[in-house]
Amino acid sequence: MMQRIADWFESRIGYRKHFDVLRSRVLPAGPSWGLTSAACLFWLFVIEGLTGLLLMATYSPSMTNAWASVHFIDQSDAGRFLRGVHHYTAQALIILLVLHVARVLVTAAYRAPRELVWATGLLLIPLMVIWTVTGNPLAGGQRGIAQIEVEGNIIGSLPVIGPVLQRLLIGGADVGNLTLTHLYFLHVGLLPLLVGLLLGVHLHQVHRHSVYRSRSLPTPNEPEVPPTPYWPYQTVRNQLALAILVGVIAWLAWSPGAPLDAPADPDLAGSPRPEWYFRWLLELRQHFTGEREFIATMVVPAAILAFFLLVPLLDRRLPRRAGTVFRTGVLVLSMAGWGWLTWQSFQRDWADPEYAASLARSREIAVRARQLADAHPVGVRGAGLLLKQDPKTRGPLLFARHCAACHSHLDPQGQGIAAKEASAPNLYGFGAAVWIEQLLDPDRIVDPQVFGVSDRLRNGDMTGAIQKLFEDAGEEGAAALRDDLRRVALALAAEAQRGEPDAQAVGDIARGRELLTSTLGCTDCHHFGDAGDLGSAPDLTGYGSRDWLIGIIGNPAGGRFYPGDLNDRMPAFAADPAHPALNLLTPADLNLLVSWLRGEWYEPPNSTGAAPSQSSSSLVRH
Amino acid sequence: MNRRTLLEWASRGLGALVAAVIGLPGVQYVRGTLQQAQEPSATFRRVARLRDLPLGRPLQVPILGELRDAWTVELNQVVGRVWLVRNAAESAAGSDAAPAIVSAFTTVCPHMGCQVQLQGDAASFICPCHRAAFGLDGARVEDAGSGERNHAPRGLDSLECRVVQDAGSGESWVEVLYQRFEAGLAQKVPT
Repeated sequence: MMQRIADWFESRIGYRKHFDVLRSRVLPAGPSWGLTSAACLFWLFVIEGLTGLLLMATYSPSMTNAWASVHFIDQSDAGRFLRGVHHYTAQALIILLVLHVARVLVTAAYRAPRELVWATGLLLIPLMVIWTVTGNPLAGGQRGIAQIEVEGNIIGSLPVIGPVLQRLLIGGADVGNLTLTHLYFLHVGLLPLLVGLLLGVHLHQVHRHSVYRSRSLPTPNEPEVPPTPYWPYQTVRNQLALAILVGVIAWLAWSPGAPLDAPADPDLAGSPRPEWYFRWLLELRQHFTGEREFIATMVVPAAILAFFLLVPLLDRRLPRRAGTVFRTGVLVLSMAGWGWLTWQSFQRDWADPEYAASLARSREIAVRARQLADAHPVGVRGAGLLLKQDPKTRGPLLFARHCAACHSHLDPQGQGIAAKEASAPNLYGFGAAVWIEQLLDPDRIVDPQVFGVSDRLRNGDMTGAIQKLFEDAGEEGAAALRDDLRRVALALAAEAQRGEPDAQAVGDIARGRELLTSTLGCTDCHHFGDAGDLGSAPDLTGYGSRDWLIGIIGNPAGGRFYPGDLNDRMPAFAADPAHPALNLLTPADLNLLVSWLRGEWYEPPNSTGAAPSQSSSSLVRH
Repeated sequence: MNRRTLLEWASRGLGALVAAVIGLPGVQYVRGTLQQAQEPSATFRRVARLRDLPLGRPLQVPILGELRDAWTVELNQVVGRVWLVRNAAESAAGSDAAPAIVSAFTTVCPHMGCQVQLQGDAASFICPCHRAAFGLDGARVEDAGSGERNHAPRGLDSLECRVVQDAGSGESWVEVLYQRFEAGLAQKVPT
């Protein structure tokens, strides 16, 4: 039955002769491991195409959807694996193409009539590189988007046609939705066509002027010994090499997986670098600055490509011995040059602590973005908001920009944000009992991280009042006073309303509240509940709560905090609630900053990340 | 087995191995889309005040909820529509003592999933795509006067529905358990 169907098609198509040609191929020089590169390349192209097709079924090219759809693919093990295979197969194709071409160069297999085999094979290298370049930004990640911006500008630096090409690629002046759809068109439409065409010509030429001559073709100088058939003696080598390659690719795809940066966001810009295969160009341009830069980025690569294309013609004019020297020289020089420049470029980065910090930061926010997207689906406005609305990510940026002129935010190990010129207390753990206790201790209040930070605070009423309390208590009363003040600290920390206090602390808190308004005399200056008056010191009611923090940051000179001259130099960041546009901080940013100061942000369950110690209600998200 | 046969089988085996490493995850990836189930809503949702429902005349109300779409989610979106029919047989005098009888039908036609509309005379539902007609009780109507055959495999899908009195305001509300069903089947199968 199957035979009859096959015959029916055979009589109409005549496909068998094409398979017979493949089946009857012979190797005059016998099978070799060197020849495996061709078959491996072919099958890797097939794998790349198939995994790409599968990914196309889910991926969505737009600035709002790209990152989220790629993350969606990564959420299933199979999707993550296929994307990894697609990513690492592209790298493998570039390396293998270069090795393949190098083999042809060394063996001078490009000689007439095989010049077109050489040319098409050679051109596949830049085409393959461009193909991966159009793929890298498709995820809408930080690095990929920064890369395409730079690559667009490199194209734009070409004289005359550069700016036009750049606009066509980017789809306007700025990277956006059109950039991704254009890249997608190039990546899954135009480039596969071009590569397919080139590959078709290449394979046709290989077949026509084959190293593996077919038995059916009469060849001159037929050797005496019957040549080895291709199948299975070469095939088994091909398959083994391919299996090893795919094994390595599969391991890479599974274990580190394809990278996925944080969604592109100019606020979180890192120090993006090109992919490894462009490192030599990055290094080369160190030597061509300003207007001449396009020599490094465009002229040199084009000249090198042209030279290699002409190698068969140059080689023909050389005597036999000189030809060998020439070919070996070209290979060694180009590999050494490429290797040296690449090494130099990486060396430069490894020696740069700022780059290392920026790289670490990029990785950190990439992990963070995935954590947030795992916990909650992305909103319709895109994945960019994940980090924009995350207190853990935005808080330090806002603090550094608006607060760190005077305040530090340093943990006990000294890690965090240091003030440019400290003149106000370190706000790490602000409002927690530990933080408040520092103010209620005559020795610690004068610490440079606390009120010792400025003369005004060191000699201020608060410092004086605490010192006076301890003077009055004397040595015998100091221990009891400390115990009372510990209760006061607990009572004030409870005002911040960061989750439920410990059951054991409830009694201490109640006692602390009594002490505040009675014997300790806090309410002589401060207002607390019904006691004391506003106007001479900050309100202790709701101390450190969200509302209190929004109030003091919004307007520290307001009645509840430091009215009039009491305010040191702290600006009002949101003085006019009715007109948020006029304020230094938008309501959203103010909320993010306050959430961060209070240690309220989402942490995934079982994470060992820097979960804020003072917070029990970390599952907060806006 | 001679060397040649061994090598032939080795070639085939290695080829199959490579195909499996790429192919099996590929199949799993495609299957993932099939396994993506719509989460059934387990809660009754308030859709209308009872007093807003006219006797005997169907009223269409939207179902609001979390709209999940692959990698995005949006709150408070229309996730479905429901026809509410307050039984005309209820006391015409409008005595509140009589228990209100309200039935709810999804607006999705059981034939091909178009949005079923109300006929001009408000006496039946009709699907604009292939003229499937349904009575106000949801049952198929064989000839709605259009002269066309009714293509619907079953009647309009009824939804669980109840009338509850709000403890605070004393207002009576209609609550519906919204569900979707497979189109094209004679039986009602939840998706």
